[in-house]
Amino acid sequence: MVATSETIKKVRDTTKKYKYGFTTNVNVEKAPKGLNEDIIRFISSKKSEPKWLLEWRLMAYRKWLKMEKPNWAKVDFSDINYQDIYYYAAPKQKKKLESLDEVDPEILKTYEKLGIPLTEQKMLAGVAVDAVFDSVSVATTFKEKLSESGVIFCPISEAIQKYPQLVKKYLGSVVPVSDNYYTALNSAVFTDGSFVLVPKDVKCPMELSTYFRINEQNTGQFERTLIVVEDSGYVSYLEGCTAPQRDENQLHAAVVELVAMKDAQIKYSTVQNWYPGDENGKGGIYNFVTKRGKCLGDRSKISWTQVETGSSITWKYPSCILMGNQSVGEFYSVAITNNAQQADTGTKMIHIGKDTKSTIISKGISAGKSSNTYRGQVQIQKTANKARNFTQCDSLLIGDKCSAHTVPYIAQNVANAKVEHEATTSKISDDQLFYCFQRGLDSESATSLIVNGFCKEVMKELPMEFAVEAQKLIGISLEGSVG
Amino acid sequence: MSILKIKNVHLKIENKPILKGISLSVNKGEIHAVMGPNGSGKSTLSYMLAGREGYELESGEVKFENKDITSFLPNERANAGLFLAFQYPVELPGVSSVNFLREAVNSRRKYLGKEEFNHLNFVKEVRKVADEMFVKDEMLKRSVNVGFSGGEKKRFEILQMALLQPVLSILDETDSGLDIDALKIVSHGVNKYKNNDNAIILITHYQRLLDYIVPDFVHILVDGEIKRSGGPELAKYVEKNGYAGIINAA
Amino acid sequence: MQHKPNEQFKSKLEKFVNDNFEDKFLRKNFLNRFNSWPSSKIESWKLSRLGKLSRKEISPLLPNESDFDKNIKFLKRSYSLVFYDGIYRESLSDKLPENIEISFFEIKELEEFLNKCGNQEILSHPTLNITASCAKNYLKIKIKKNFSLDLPLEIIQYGGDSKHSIHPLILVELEENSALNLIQLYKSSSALIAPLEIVKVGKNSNLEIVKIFDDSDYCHNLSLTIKIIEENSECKSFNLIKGGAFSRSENHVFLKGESSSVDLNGVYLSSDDQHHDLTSVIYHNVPNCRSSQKVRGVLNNNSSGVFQGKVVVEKNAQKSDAHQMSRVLLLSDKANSNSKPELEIYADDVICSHGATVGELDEDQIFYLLSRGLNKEKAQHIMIDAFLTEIIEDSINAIYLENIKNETILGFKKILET
Repeated sequence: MVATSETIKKVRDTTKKYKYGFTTNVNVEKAPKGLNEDIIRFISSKKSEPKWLLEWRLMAYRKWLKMEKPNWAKVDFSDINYQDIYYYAAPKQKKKLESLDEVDPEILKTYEKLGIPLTEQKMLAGVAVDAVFDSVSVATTFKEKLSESGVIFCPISEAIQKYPQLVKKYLGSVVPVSDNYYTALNSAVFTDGSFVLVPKDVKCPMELSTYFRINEQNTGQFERTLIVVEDSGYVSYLEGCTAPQRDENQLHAAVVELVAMKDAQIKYSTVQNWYPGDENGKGGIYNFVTKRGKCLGDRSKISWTQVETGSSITWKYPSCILMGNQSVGEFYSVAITNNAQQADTGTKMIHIGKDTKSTIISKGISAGKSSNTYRGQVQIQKTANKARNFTQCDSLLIGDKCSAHTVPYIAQNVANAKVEHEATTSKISDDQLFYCFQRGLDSESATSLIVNGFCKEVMKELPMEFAVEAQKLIGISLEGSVG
Repeated sequence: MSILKIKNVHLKIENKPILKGISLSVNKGEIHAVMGPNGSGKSTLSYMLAGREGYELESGEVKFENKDITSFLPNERANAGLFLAFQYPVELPGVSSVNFLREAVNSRRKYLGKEEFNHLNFVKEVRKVADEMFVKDEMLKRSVNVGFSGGEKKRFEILQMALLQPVLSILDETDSGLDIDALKIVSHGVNKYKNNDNAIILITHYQRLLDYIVPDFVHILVDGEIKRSGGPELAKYVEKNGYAGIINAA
Repeated sequence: MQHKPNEQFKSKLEKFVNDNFEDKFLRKNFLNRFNSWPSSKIESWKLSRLGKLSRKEISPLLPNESDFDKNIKFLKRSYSLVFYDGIYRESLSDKLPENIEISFFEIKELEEFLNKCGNQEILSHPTLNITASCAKNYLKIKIKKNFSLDLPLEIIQYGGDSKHSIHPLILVELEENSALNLIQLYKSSSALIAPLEIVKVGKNSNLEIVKIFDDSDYCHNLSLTIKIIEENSECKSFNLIKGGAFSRSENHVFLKGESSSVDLNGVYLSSDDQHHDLTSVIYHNVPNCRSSQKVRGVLNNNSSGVFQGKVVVEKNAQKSDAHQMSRVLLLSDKANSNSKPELEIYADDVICSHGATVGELDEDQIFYLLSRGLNKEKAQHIMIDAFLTEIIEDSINAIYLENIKNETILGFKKILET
């Protein structure tokens, strides 16, 4: 079929592969390469941190030294040389920024190119953005408007200065320092990230968003996000990420902690589009992220939605610990892998409180010679009377060189709880493709349409602004995968 | 003016001859009915014309608007104006009907060098046409063919035909599984679409549909061959005497 | 008390092999590969409740040559092969028709079989290595070409004591165009029984296996079955697990011939401190094969149940069709259930699915029965019976369907009583 390959070639030539692959020239201040206690002291003093935090970091570092990297995931990569990474890189700035206008214009331009204008008049109405550039937060928008309603939204480094008691209380309370190898590393060296506090009875008036960008070479990004929503509060939080196209692998080891009090709700959405590496698997981001939420209060709810299209390796399990009675955990995920990408992603739902409920919907799409694994755990503990879980995970295979794996663990320890799990793996049916062809769609648009349909249940959970972007992203991610 | 010319087409599936030397010529403004018993090769003929993989010609010629289309991809044939209304339209879970229709209509418009519809204009256009075809708004909100009744699926096929404005429409057993009211609605849609610049091939098992859409020519397809061709009266003859008489006579 | 039975067992094992077998050098391969006693550190044993097993001091039993004189039969009309202390006792067994051949085979044949499986993972399996090292002899049952046995063949395992382990090793071979119905009954009184079974199903053949695990209440059964299935052949197996302190039925199936199929169904009925475990790995090595697993479990009191099923569809195994379904009923808050259905897929044209549910008896259904005047026990009976009957009728040949049903009913009556 000559015409098919021609069409595909044309599409390939005319569409850019990874459109966020550019780099920005800014003056950067870096700590020397490598990791030791002095580097940690350097980071801590750069940020004028209180002593307890430095101690905490050092404690984490010492634990990390004794830990081993996890090897149970279905991902394969050569060992990371932790001494060959910069742990601190920050755009140089002479004095403290008073307003957005003082941000380095190069950085503002970068975000504009990424579709995230930081100047308030141009911004998406109703979304407040915290922009993290390499190791530090460069801008947070709509701060004042938020503070009117009592919501705190700022870089975590600022929160450490302004609200040390709050940070101290919750930091590490959901994800313990030594939870795993990467959380210990992150705790030792995290540089920035976002902090959100929604006080009692406040519904956050706008979507909050953090946009992560890795720019510098050989730099790891270790951000730390902490979101606390007090009784009956509500927040919807979005997270986006990109990185320049580079031949070496860069490490992103973030920790996100969510705390929901009585009747509080947190909706956390991610569109992850880190540079995935080239067709042969060269370069790309190692995305080793620990995200966990604690439904501390009764009737609280935490909902994770993720669209994972980037990174060369994804190792990520946004989880919920359902402690409060009648608390609810949700996980909606689309993970697409193409070329040589590897993803091992899923969730953990730990049911502790009575009448707790969790829903897991996972859609995995693998194309090229990629490998895509759903790994999930549903644990019903003895105290979780009448707990309920429903899990649906579907995998779609495009091409015969990729692989798809499903590994759910289901542990139930109480009789009156109910756990249901369904999973399927299949390819796009020839009948569906032919039907679309007959209506004039070429194979790329037909595939993109069918795959978007396959992901619909998850996509509809995304906030509007993100949903459109994510839909396009799915099409782009699959380019070159059919034929 | 010729729209479709098929000459001595042979086609095998898994080494079994299904079409054994079929010739058919369709001109602008004509309605052709292809009738035949089960397994006579009717659906194979429609898949062959639409270019489905696995239905390639063994020998013969297929010309659409005087172009040899045998090497065209299915979507290229569709863009050129060849439409197939499926006997069993497949479900596309999660794919919104409106989006699907827009993708289809815009790729046809692009081919014709016409401006593509934006979402808003398209929704207006669809509403208008859907109304004429008695397709409810609520149906357009659902996923393509998912949860549609048999009749709704067929109506949705005809709606697509009306929107795409093809040159040639092949309706594969569009009447099967329809009650008399649904049949009337579908026929109404087909008649509304029909004009002097396009043509229709009706593939059907029964004569019933031909009471509502009157063909200019009737062809009887039996065992991979057109055994007899004639006017509408031939359909009436088959209705009365069955296919047996024709098979024996041939 | 710090016990390290692993090391202890290995040295006992070495001594046992050195003292008792002339072909000890040939057995070394297996002996050397035995380096890990089942432990929760190993992924495939993580969900197993191994506490009691690892605290036990066990050594391999040197089988008593003298026969015991008891005539045992499960089915009235069948050919029985009786094993005592893990070895075949001809004098207690029925005479077989000509087309079934009983013989002993060499270690070499076992190694060839493992080579054919072409799988590294299996080589480190504890049951394989312990039993291949210290089985008294390797018994082969061969069904000759074009032969179908008229009655079921039953293999009954007896004997053992509370301090020792026993190690039966059996190869079942079906030559082309043959058929066999096989029933295996485990009624061991040993501390540990580690049966190793090797199954070869030749082209166009048909094998049905029913295994009943009904060992004494302190016994640990670590059964391992490895099957290779050739073209156009079918292997249907069903496990009924009800006895023992710890019973694990582990199957590794290699679908090596096109259009072959395997069914691995099972029921476990557990109570008190019992641990029951159905573990399987099915490899779709070639195109057009089918596999299906249906498992039902009923757990009462402190018991725990595990279903671990992994399906691997290899790169060229297009048009594979693989399904798994596990359903578990928990009758007590102290019971726990673990399921891990796993799909590992490297081919794109496949239909694979799995499902798992865990829950209690439906309150509405129970209430409906109560409102019709039944007492609670009777209502539970009816519901559990219905829950199990479906899968049993689906899995079991009519010849002995009633026998298996009776065994099942006895099994769940027992767990409801305790």
